[in-house]
Amino acid sequence: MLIIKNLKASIENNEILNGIDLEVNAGEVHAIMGPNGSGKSTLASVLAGREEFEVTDGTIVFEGKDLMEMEPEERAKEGIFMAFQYPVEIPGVSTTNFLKTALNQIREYRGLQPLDAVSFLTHLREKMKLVEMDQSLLSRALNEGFSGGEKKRNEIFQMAVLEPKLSILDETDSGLDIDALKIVANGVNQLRSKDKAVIVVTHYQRLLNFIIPDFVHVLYQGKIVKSGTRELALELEEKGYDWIKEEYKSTLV
Amino acid sequence: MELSLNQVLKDLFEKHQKQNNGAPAAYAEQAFERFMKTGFPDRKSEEYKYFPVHRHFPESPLLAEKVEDPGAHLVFSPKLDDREAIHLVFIDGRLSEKHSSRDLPEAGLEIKHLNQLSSTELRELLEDHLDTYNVNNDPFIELNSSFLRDGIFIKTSKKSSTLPVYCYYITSAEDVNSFRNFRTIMVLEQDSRAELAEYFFSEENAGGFENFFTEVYAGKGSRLNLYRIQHKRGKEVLLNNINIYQKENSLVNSFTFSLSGKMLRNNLNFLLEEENCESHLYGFYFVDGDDVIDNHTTVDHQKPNCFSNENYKGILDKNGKGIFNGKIYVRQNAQKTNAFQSNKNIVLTDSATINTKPQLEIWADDVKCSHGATTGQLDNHQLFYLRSRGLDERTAKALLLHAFAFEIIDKIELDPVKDYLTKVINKLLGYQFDN
Repeated sequence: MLIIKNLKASIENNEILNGIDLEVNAGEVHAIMGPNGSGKSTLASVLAGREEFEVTDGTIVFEGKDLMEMEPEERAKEGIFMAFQYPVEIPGVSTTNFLKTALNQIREYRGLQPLDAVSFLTHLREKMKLVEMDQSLLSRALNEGFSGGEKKRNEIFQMAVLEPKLSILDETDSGLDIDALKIVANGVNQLRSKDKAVIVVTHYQRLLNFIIPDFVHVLYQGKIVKSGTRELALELEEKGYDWIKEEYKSTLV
Repeated sequence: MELSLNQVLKDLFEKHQKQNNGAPAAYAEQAFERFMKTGFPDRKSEEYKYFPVHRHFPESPLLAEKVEDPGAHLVFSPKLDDREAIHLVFIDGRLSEKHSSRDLPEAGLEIKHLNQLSSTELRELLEDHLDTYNVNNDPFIELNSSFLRDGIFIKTSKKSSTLPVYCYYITSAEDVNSFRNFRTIMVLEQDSRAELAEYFFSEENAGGFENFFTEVYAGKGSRLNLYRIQHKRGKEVLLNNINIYQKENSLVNSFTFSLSGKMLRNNLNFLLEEENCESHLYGFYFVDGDDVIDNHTTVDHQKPNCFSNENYKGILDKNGKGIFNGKIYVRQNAQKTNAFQSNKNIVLTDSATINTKPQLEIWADDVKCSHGATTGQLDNHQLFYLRSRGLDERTAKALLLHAFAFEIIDKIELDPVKDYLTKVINKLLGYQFDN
């Protein structure tokens, strides 16, 4: 589904990604872990198409198409969704209205009929249950005055509504208490299927107790320095990141 | 150039006085003397610094002649409201009976057409109701009094209904020399309520210079919603002064929507003459093409315990030039004044400009005043967020602009006006979604 080769990206001439190779297939859940400043969120942003980052080398191919050629909205229409680490507040824009417009633009792109008001609301209600989202949040302006937990839940709710093929969760666990974490993870798990993939970017192992990954990658200094299975995450939880850093340094000598 | 404009107006005034078909001679004479003290604004005038009105005044101005019904030949139905309401249609500063519906006896409003009054009646009316206070010595207020030939007088009483009153000011004149002065006077008697919507409209061929003046007397305990919608397509200049005199415990909500106009200037003056007045000034301007739209506002707190709140927002596109100036005066004995002001702007292109200036002058010491002005582009983070959900760039921008403007539209209480503005502004902003 997603093939990243030798990806290098920088912001204001600072190289942050330093040659990433990663392959994600349908049905898989990949966790990207790593210490602060290792480039995890940059990788997520580059995949979503944030323009501040300049891709200096490498390729990203999504379902056979060159992702680098696509505007952020085209990526969304192709089926990529990023749950933001810091969802933006947009006063005056109602969540319902925004999501209906987004969903129908995506449907149009895929050659589907737009949903009318009634079927859209049915679709919305169904997805609300999934993340135990309160009806009142829908009539409010997008994320305006939402608590940290409500914002993150709203991200997963949007993901459920838009039904992407590849979801990227950028530190969705940060700022969540354990109950909210369970709800969010539960929502993600219900959306897992054999034709969808998920990339979970996280600093801590905690979220991975609830969303069980098939693969775990450790990012350090803009490179994937170690890959493994779920056990790697547990090992990191226990030992921290220092041994990874040491191991990486010794390979450089 | 500046000197000659004053001379041109002096000649015109003498001619006008000889014809003697407007306001009483002495009233006009005094006003013209006051005008001559300040003179026509030139490029050095601070108040008209960004609005070069001297370059757009006719070289040989012609005053409007008296006509039977200026709208007799026009097909026009600019009705904003299908329900029962009072519609007053003015074409080139003259009332068109054909297009107006004002005879609603059950409304209990007193409506007088100044043009139809005898000179004695007009003098009495002016003496009773025109204690014009020219807070910033604006020369156009004096010119309006000097050349006053036509206007409308509307009076509400406690017993009158609250049927909205719509005034449509339509420009059809094409002559660049046409100089039109018109006065709208609204008097709200004690504890009465009213809705007044003023709609300014023109087609592409319109021209000339319009100097309109609206005066509102909000009596003790009265409440008024005042709407001003400006959507002009012609080349004419509109100079619009609005004075609102508020008495004890009165409440006035003012809405100004300037949607298009080659040269458009509003001087909105709130004069809080007694205690416990409340005033809200909402404004939205969309400056597109080569339009110049200038909103000057003044809130003059003369007495203690009054509250004023101002919120103006603007979107500047293409080569549009926007100007906002917000004066707040708090006079020495206006203690316990609360006065707030905010002006936010979004500039969409490199060649659009906005000049914004808060101007607070406070002589009292126990007051709460604040002001803020921002100018920027659309927020990139918000834009990216929307696009990352699949909205194309154009739609995402329109959605954000809609949200920006909607904060002001949302305050409107009169539904037909709200629906009309929602529709028109969404169209201007390229916002095409259902709700």
